[in-house]
Amino acid sequence: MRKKSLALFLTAAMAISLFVGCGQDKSTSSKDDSKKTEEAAQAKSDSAIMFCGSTSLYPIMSSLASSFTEQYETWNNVDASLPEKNISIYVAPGGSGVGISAVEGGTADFGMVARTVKDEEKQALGDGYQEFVVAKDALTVSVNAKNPIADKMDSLDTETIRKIFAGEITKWSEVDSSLSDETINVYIRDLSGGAYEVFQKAIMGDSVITASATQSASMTELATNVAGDENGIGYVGFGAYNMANQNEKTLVAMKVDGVEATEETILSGDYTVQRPVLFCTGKEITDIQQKFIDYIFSETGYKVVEENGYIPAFTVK
Amino acid sequence: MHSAREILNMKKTGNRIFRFILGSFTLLTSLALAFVIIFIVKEALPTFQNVSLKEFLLTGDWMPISGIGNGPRFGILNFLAATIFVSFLAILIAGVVGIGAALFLSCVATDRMRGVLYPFIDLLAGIPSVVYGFVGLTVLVKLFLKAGVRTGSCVLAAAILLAVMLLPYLVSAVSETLLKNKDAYLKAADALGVDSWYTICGIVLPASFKNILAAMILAIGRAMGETMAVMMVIGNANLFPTLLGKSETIAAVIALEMGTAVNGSTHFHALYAAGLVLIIVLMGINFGINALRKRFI
Amino acid sequence: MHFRSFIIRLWAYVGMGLVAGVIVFLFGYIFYKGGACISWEFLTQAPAGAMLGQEGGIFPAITGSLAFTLTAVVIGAVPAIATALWIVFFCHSKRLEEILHIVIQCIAGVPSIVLGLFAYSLFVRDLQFGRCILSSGIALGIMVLPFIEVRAEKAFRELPQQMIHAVYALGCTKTHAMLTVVLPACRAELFSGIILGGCYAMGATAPMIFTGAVAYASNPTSILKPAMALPLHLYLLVAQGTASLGIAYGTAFVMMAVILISNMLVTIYARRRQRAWKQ
Repeated sequence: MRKKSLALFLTAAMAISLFVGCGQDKSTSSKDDSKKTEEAAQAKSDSAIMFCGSTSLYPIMSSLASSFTEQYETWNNVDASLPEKNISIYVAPGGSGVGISAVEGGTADFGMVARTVKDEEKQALGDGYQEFVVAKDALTVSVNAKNPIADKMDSLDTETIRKIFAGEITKWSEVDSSLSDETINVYIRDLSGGAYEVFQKAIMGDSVITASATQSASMTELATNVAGDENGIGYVGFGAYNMANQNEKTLVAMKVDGVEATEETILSGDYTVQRPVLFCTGKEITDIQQKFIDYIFSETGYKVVEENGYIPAFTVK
Repeated sequence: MHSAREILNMKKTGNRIFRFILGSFTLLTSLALAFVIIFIVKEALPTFQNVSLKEFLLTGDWMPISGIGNGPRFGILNFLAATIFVSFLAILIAGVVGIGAALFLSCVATDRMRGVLYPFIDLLAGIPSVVYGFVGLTVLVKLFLKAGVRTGSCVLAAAILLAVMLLPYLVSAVSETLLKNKDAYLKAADALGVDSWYTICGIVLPASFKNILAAMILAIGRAMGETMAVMMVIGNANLFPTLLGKSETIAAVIALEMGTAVNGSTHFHALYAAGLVLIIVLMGINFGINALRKRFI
Repeated sequence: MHFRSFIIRLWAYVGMGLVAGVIVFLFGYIFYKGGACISWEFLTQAPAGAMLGQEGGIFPAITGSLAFTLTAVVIGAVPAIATALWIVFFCHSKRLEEILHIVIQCIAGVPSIVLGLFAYSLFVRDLQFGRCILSSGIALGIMVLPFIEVRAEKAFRELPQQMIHAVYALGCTKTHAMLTVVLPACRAELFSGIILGGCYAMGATAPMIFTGAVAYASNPTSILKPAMALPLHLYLLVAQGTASLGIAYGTAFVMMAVILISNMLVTIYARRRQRAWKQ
């Protein structure tokens, strides 16, 4: 008897998935099945919010999404006028560019971007374009605290920084003749980080960063790498820089053209190697989305942004 | 009541239906492969409107972001070289260790021991590649760092990690052929009074040589497609691979940069093209082995 | 001459020792480091903390991984077993059989990251499924298909011919023979293929990074929604940096435990079946 039921089950499973398979094939052949698209779009906009994009912003958003979901569970707990549906907020990491193309393609409600949004990108998102700047992040030009350069000088000019990162200056002694003859090791973020473009714009101009630079997958990793290499230099994010120095001074940030990276200089824009961290959309904001956005710009959000090492770009009312 | 003939007919119809269902699934399986290839090719081709094939394969400049230096350039030579280099290195290491283990399994172990050891070694095949990468990062990379390698991430670390991942496939394939050849020759040699280890190294190993080589080449294919573990320890810099230097494999480039590539950009298509190159190399290996097997083995 | 055989012998022992050592080390290391982090709360709570994962647990990642794995196994196993049955019992042309074997081999040869690319362009983008469990599940399903097919086909071929002929001789159709004799007789092999295939799908990260796994989601509710997954969670914890390393070990622990338990189950079940078979 048991054998029979197993056999029956297997056949049933096969039959079902054949139908599924056929269904898929059908939809492949008729790509412009607009009904399906609409349904999918509707299914996405009911009680779920999807964020997609920058690796700099996703830890903040996922942390907030998690605490928001834990706290309220269903939307009617947030506001009685909202439906009694489970809160589902999804946060997908990718890159800034992908965040924008996901919103454009309709696979995400909000794109997370860690750089200024280009004009042609705004245009592509349509007239309903809206952006919400959550935080500011600056890139410090950091060297290892044990590097004697930290005692000799506290500022580098843009040109010197450019030459170091472009590989035109390869030894510390070329920066200052009193320094050692050791090779400079350059550390950068990988190309998927918005930081790469920010640094390129602010410092590098038309020059290319040397191919021998070590790419790190995250700002934390980048900070750890520079902190572990006496001859290292890298554009460590402001947040990661502060976190790396939490217990002991492992990194020293050089002033750029005499401007030190502090909260004030970053917010005022005097410190130029910086970027906004924001999320954007091209569509009108629904009620439930607005509730979550309010939550992001609340005290909780402020705290989370700070704890992740960024400078909140808003004040709590 | 149904007549006997009717029942027979019903049975036949049922049989036909079942046969049809199975056949459809077989077709679906084949279609899946076709779909994968068609889609990758479709997405890859637009790359070559902007980049010539020669430039794509034979230069090492990879600068997907426009407006820097001489504008975007897509050359995967370094990535391709790294993919091949890491895989060969890994198979070399895995070969040395794996053939040894296979010798033990086929020539020392009893049937009972084999019954325990095979599933034990199979455990390696089940470990997720992220876990390999994680252990590699926390153990291997740290070791290399202590040994004085800058940041610790290097091609050798990736190769060692890959070698461990390849071991279960290699060990089971090699010990299978060794076992077959041992059964064929060892009894005769024993009857002649020849030392059995002498037989193993003089006859069994050489007789299995071709099959071992085939197993190793197949394992290379497996190594080339591995993404996460390699990506986590190889350092990811667009450099020509050296033993203790950083590099980046094709699979790693795709995994890292699919996140940034804007849909429809040359960068996006170039990543598909890189994937296509990977598939072509892997299928080349598969077909090559099949052809060789038919002819020589 | 004596020396050469000594070397070979040494090679065998050292090789086996190294392999065993690596296995023991890998499991021991993760279990030792991750064990400290495992608690009921860790297994049943959602991740929390300012950098997600610093505090709290991994429950949504566990349920998410379960959803991915189930989807992948259903999508992969059914065509795999059907194809194996068709090749063994219905395919009369040697040539066709050969072609199908090459097809299976080629599917196995497609790197998992490329399957991710494929699923992204077809399902996520063109068919507008969006990032969801189904998109990833199809990529993972294609990935495990050859894995299960090879095992299933081997099992079917190893059945004694007399047994099948006996069923035919009783006047049964092939269908009847397959459903009542072949499939039940190969239960252990099919079971092991499916379970191990499931483990394989569970641990794969590359195909789902851009097709359906996300950094944060609550428990999966629909196959058309994205979800968290253990391997991606582990990867993101590592990429985030050292702050959450303890939890990373815990996440690895869970995956390794699943692997170990599934493998043990399969081995024990297969052995028991084997014994029953021989009697």
